[in-house]
Amino acid sequence: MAETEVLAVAGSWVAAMLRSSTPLMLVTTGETLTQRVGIVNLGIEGQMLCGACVGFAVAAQTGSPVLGFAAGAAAGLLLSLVHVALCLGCDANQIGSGIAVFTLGLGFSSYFGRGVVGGKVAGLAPLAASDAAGIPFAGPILTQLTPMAPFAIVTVLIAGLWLYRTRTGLNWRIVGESFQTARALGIRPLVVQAQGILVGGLMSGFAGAILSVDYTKLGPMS
Amino acid sequence: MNPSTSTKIIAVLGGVAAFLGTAAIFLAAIGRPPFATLMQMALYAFGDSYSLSESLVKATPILLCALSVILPARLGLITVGAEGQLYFGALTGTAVVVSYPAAPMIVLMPAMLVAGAAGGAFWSGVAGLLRARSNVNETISTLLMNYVAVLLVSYVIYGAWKDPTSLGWPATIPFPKAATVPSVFGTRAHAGLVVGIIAAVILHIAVTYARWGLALRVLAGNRKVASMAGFDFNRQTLLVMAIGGALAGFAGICETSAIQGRLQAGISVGYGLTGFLVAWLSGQHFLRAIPIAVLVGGLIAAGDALQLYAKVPSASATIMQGLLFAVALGASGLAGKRTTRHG
Amino acid sequence: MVELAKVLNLNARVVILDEPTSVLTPAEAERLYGFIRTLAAEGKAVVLITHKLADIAACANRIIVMRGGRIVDAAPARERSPEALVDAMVGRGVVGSLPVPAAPTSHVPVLQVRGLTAQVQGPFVRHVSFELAAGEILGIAGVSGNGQFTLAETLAGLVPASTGDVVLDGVSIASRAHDGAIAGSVAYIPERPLDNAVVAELDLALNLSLREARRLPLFPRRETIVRRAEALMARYDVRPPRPALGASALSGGNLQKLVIARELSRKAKLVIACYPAMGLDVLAAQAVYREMFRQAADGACVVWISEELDDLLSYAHRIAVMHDGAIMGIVRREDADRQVLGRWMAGHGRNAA
Repeated sequence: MAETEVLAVAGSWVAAMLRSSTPLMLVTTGETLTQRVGIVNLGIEGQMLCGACVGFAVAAQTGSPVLGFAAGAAAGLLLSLVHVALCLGCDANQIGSGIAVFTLGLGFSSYFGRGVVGGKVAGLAPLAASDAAGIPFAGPILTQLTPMAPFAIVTVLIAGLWLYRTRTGLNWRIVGESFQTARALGIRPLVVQAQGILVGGLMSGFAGAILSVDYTKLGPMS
Repeated sequence: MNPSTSTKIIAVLGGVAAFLGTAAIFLAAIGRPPFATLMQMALYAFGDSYSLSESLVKATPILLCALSVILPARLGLITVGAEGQLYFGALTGTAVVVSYPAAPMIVLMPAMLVAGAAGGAFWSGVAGLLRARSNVNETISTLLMNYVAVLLVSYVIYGAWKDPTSLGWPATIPFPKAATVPSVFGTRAHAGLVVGIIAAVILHIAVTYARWGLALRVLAGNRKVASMAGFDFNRQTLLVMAIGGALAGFAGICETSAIQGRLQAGISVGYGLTGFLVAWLSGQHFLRAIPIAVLVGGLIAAGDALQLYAKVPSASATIMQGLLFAVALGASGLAGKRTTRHG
Repeated sequence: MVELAKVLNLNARVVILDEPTSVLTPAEAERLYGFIRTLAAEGKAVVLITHKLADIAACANRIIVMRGGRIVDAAPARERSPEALVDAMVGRGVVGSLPVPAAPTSHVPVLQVRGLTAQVQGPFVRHVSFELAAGEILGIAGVSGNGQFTLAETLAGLVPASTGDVVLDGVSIASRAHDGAIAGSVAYIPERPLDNAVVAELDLALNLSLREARRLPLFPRRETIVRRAEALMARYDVRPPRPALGASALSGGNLQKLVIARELSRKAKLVIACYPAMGLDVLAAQAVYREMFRQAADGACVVWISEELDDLLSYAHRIAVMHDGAIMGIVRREDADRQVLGRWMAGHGRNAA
């Protein structure tokens, strides 16, 4: 009897842990990839906020959480374009540019978020129907998590495998270690760095959308 | 390679034009007549004495926070922690007032202000110590400590210091007259403005003409050569971070005391971040930060007025700050690129 | 050698080598020459950029001399003698050689290094010990990257020693705090002065005053600093002699002369020179050596780290070889044998001095 209680609490705890870490895993993976090509992007919070805002708006409008995720990811990607333009195009300081992106993201999500607050959104269906809640330990996990949680974990694994086991992953790492060496080897480091920043933007926007559409279902929380 | 003067002027003019252009595009995108709105904002910022007063109110904490960024920048440290130092200084200063609300002004006022500055100095000093001892990147540590400070303030205003008579609104007791920083120049801006200007002048003189300024420049340029000259990076790191933090903490307690009247949520609307922007725009130059802080303060005040009178959310000012910053970074980056020598 | 292997792998048609022998032992350099000749025989084009006449003599079919960004001479290799090449490189008449420094008069050790170990995230020093008398020049040879730079920095007090000690004239300097008294008697001339010896952002006048910086008044007077700088720049032929110029505006040779002006204008007890002539043309290198030897004649201990074995064999009193952070051996100049030194540089054989 006490055992099932312990299992239930443990299961709920793991469920809560995985739910709140899902967006974190995605945004961290994105920024890690960005940093592995040698760029620091401090604007990821702004990108997440934009992703959360746009993602929620689209999900509420269309009724489809998946479209919301896609829209959020696109929003994050667009905002990270600013970082690309400043750091790679204008040779601006990365820290400053990141803070500028952060400020823009903060501003845009505050500005447009006002009109979206209070909307309702249907999140994704959980992994198992609610009558599975009684299964010890796995019950709470399966009924409270959506497919996003395992998706995030798989994404991290894929990103790691890609970075260390593929040719393009190696190229990214070379660019991050030494810009000049990459150039001497025929890789185009600026292109790779742009890709790294954009991937980071995509993932932070996506993570933001998950936060507002899937996790809280409450809309932007700026 | 340092850009020549003419390149710099072109960069500044180009930057201003680009900013006005992007701001106009943004305004058009949200359905407002772009140039008319920009003119309106200029009037809201500086059009009459009331507007000017509001702009100075905003400019004061911005200036102090900008100074708190510029000083460490002279040592090569990039700190984004002004917001957190502001909040923590507000916290420590309020602690004095909440503990001795009946004390006479001659004791309470200086104690409160010193406590506020000391709190900010401490909050910044922690990051400085981490950098000096363990080479922890100060940008990241100050960035993260911002969140902690804001949450600490929430903690006390919802909990231990919550004024029971404030009917559910989380805030401390209103500050007594003895703890209220006076306003200056017949405006709503508080005496912190004067302190900020004096601090800017003193720091400028010290860093430009004193041996200390040479130490900072050498340490920022080449750490090893600096140790050949006998300069100590760790000591200077702690010093500049503490002084910077003190300025931001001072701003925090002054805002709480003079503008808010009590410690509550929202004592800062991103003044720390704006201070970082102003520091950058001024090229990490103490004296130039003064007019730029006033201009950006005007921008924010205009944003508030726009929300009041034209129903445009005040977040528009945040967006414009972001645009201003991005454009300034782009312009200076391009200017640097044009003059880079190859070979 | 790893880099060279990479080159082989790429199947290139044109191979460009930039100063390849500076990190090779004499034996490895010989193998490189063979490798280059093989590449050429296979029909590849090889561009060898070097300042060492030995490299050119071993490999070159055609020679181009560049000076100040322009090509000043181009000819088949057999039409140019070494002297003609040096002429073209330097642009002046025949360069004489420096007088060999006199042997130290006393053998009382003034500098004692005992069991010195130090580490900076990579390059390292392991249990280095030696002693120098006043006026003695110790040359330290070895393939660069074997701890020479770290040894120089540790002796100069820029890197803390993990174990062991450096005693100069009875005072321990390895674990000192930044003590003004000691700083005055140690001179440090590192390689690549723009990165290691000056602050690039500051002007020449301030850079020249760095050794006295802590003793400046609270509000230093600009005129005093500038006047001092002008005097020093004139004395040491630093060009252009404008104290307000930024340090990055000077050429490598003039910058090194500036560093000499700062470090060697006072009488030093210990001079540490770490690849002081790297990247300098023959005349500038001689200017540097001349000042070092003058300090030795005045009684300073000189620790001279160089990759030019020929220079060390010509001028140093004793020669040590570093490999993998440790001293492989120390011999007197008269007893030095190139083969033995080359083997030590490659890490073979361990002899006590």
